Amino acid sequence: MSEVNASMGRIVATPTAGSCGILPGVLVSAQERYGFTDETATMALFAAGAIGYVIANNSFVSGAEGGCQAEIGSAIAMAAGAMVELRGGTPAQAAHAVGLALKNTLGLICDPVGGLVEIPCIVRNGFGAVTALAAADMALAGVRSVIPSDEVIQVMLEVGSAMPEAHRETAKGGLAQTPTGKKILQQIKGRAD
Amino acid sequence: MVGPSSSHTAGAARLGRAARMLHERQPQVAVITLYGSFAETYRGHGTDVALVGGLLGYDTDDPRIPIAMTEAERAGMQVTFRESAEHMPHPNTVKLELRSGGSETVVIGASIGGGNIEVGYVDGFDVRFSGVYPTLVLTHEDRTGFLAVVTTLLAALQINIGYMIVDRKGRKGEAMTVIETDSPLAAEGLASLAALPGVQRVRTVDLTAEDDASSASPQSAAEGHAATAGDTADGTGTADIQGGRP
Repeated sequence: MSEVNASMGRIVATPTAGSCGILPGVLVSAQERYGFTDETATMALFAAGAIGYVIANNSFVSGAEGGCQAEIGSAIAMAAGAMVELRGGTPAQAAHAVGLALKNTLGLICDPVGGLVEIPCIVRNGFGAVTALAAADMALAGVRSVIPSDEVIQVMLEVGSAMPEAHRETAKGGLAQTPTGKKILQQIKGRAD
Repeated sequence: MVGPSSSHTAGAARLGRAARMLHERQPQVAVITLYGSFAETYRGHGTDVALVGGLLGYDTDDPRIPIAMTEAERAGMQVTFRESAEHMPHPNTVKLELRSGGSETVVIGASIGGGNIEVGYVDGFDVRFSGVYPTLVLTHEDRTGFLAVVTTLLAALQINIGYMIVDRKGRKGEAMTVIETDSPLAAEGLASLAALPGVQRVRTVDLTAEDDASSASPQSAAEGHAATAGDTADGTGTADIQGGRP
């Protein structure tokens, strides 16, 4: 998914393009494991969309505004909630999954190497899918998010707003500015010129 | 949508498309200034090709976005990119200066996440709209009762207003009113608006208008713009897609 995205293929932003691998990763693997039909999985997309809507309207979903937590974090929360819904959990459990998932990514910066959507974005999509599955499992097992998901969403807004610009999709900090990150950027520039 | 970034690619394509609609034709010259995160990552995120794709009328899922630069060249559109360190309220901000013949349009907008945009400036006026509703952009004289006349006309046409913003350059000077409506205005409605006293120009922006057509057949995306209003000047809405004028 993420490779198609990075090579300018056509994808569905969930909630963004940089985080488009998590929801399909979770849903497709759930179909393989539990045998959900496409129709059932489609219903879970509505649950995911509703969660994304709440996050976007109360916080943010773009890396430039709130760092990676806003993109990958939101996608994990959406997938976690959708997975609970899919496996027959209650709406309250789905909300707890959102809180559990989102708390785990608070503070994650957006630091794309070379200004591309490849390193670390693609791998973060993979880890994100695993986190979403774990959060859903926890919520289904009865683990609650002590800080309610609505409050966690507010924290994400607070943390993202306080994040330095270098760590909000400018490639001016983080992994993008490591010696290797800079070397990759030079290689890309060399190829373009 | 076409990747790799909803804010930097899809949002950029929408900003380009909104600017094209405001310019009412395909621009011959486009000077594009990028700010903030846009300026830092526009090459890697495909922001440049997406903006140009938007100027060519492509929607966010158009497979031609990656080759937009070549297509623009073929269409005779001259594009220049500039990066600015100037601070803008939103990190993903772009200024599009479009020229064709004697006509010039300046649009500043931001990509606010998830592919959503906010146009904040049109031709010297501070405005605010997203383009996801049928949007009327009226340039007019600042005169008493103007809004009453416009809203009465819209009411008579059964058009509901969702949002409205007015800016003016000074008392009794030039003004701009932007109205987001729930349903689009038919050609007769647009003509009635244009005929109102004090109205200088009526333009429309609707980024959702051609979604059905373009997703069913991406190749037809560029044609959709005949629907954008203001083609009243020469009455040939589709002339703009010929491009390549000397």
